[in-house]
Amino acid sequence: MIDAAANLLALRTRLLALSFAPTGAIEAAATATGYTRAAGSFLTDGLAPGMEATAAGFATAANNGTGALTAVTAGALTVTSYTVAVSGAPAGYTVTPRTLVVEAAAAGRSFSVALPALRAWGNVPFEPVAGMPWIEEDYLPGPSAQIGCGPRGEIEGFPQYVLKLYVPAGTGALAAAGYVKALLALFAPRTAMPLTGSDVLRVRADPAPYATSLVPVEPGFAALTVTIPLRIETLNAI
Amino acid sequence: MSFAGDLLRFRLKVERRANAVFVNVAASTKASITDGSPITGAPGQPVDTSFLKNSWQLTFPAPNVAEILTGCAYARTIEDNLRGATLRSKVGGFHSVKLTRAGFPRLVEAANAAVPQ
Repeated sequence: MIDAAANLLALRTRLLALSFAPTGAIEAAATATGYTRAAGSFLTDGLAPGMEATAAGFATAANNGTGALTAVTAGALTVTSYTVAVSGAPAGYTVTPRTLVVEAAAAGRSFSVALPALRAWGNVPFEPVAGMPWIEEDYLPGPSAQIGCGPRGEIEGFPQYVLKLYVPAGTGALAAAGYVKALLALFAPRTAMPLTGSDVLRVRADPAPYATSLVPVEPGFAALTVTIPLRIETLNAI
Repeated sequence: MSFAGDLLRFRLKVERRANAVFVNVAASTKASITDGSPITGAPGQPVDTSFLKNSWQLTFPAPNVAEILTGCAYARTIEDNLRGATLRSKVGGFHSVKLTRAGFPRLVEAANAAVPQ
């Protein structure tokens, strides 16, 4: 039978692997408000205001971690840095501001963008935080039908995974576009997600995953939706 | 009776059937969005004042083109269940357009089967 919980967990596992706009190992410095580099370009690497970037490789621990990009140029990132922890509070997460420490340029530093740390999973309390991007999911079980013969015949289902991306208002369109491009690549048509047994959840090719345009929503955010149509075949359990 | 006459009658029959399937598909697609459908799994539009549901219009701007449109400002918030959307209706729900789109091939199959041979 179609196992909605197994499908959802497989989709989340894949979603959590989202990673894009990597700079690779570069020579970079930390300032009180962000990071700088002398060679290469943060813009060319795909970083944009509104994204949540992760810095790594700095000697000072406070300079490593996540932060919302508020401005991006070829040689500088302006960042609101913070640490996010899952909590039992009504908001679901605890966000602790982190102060960057000035650190001279050195090699071996890197930056990349992953899934926003604030995630509104289905039916879990959540409150967004101003200035931080976040993502929300809806899993749609969709219709199913038996397409094989007999009591153990094959059942075909068409669930969908709907991801809603919220980026801080006023940060432009590039952050959302970057997230969408990475999500569509992560869930490319015909992507297979093995489940328990012989069942496989696949991303459909027609309709293939698609995104909507960016629209202003509640004060402080703009949102768009990425829809991932899926197909699963399993055996009837009668 | 002639071969040319047979061909003409067959062509007219195919055209009538194709047109009937096309119109039925358009109508069932719109119905899936507004009223819901067991074929697509779409829940249909929620109804509070009926403004949203009644805002959906099916038009045929060209012989082989059907458009299903809404001018309701909050239609997308309901469709995508964006933050701030509240379901106050006992009928309908979110994501009806997505589910209808995903189930479109089955709507075509059903419309085709419903047209007499």
